[in-house]
Amino acid sequence: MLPDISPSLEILSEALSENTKLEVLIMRENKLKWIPYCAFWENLRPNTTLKKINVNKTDLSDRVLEKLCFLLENPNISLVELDLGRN
Amino acid sequence: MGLAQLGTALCNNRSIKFLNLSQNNFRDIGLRNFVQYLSGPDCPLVELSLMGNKINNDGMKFLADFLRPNTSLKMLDLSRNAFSDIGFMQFASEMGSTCSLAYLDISKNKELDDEGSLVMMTKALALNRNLTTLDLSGLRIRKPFLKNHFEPALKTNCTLKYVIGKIPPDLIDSELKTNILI
Repeated sequence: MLPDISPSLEILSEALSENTKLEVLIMRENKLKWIPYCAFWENLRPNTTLKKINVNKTDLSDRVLEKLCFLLENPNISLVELDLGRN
Repeated sequence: MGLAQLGTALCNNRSIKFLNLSQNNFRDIGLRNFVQYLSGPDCPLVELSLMGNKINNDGMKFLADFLRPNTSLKMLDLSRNAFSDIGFMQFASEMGSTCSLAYLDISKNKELDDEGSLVMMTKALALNRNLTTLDLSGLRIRKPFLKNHFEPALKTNCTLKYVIGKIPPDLIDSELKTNILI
């Protein structure tokens, strides 16, 4: 059985909310539940340093996408590559 | 996943160059919003994959609308979708001189006919000045089409270098070799 990574995910997203040097975030094929997944993108909203995000095959539902869209709407983001395949 | 929502969010984005939206079951709902994003004067997108969705004929009509205003997109993957000749006809007709695409993948759209919309595509290819690679694999391409439509189009087209698919090499290879990329 896989461990529940939701608590650590919250810590990760809080850390990433401040501008960091991290440029690539790959979370493909995760099985996160929608509530922690929403919280993750909500926390990540102020981040402007990520250049690549891969969330391929992660059951990205409309309510999760809504939170991700907040990040995309930020005119100061430097995101170049976004992989939303197989959702 | 909501394509309309994504299109609206991206409308003011000036950074994303590579977007993978493959295998998401998109049909036509939401494509209108998304096309508004693609048609924007400052749309920065260079590569877009819509492979393995269920884009139907209505969806293709929406997509045809962005080809003229968009100047950034170089690579478009429309393989394995659900459109047929009726939908691709309008898209193909927009692939004329102002289309910026360098790579187009329409492979495995089995309802495309070499006596229908693919003929329209060759007419547009004759005017096209940017396309270098065209993936037609998995489509039924017959010799009369190559001889009567594709080869004549290549005599006018000067950029197409690679055609992917089961095509007899003796029919179009000589024309492709004379095309020089500048």
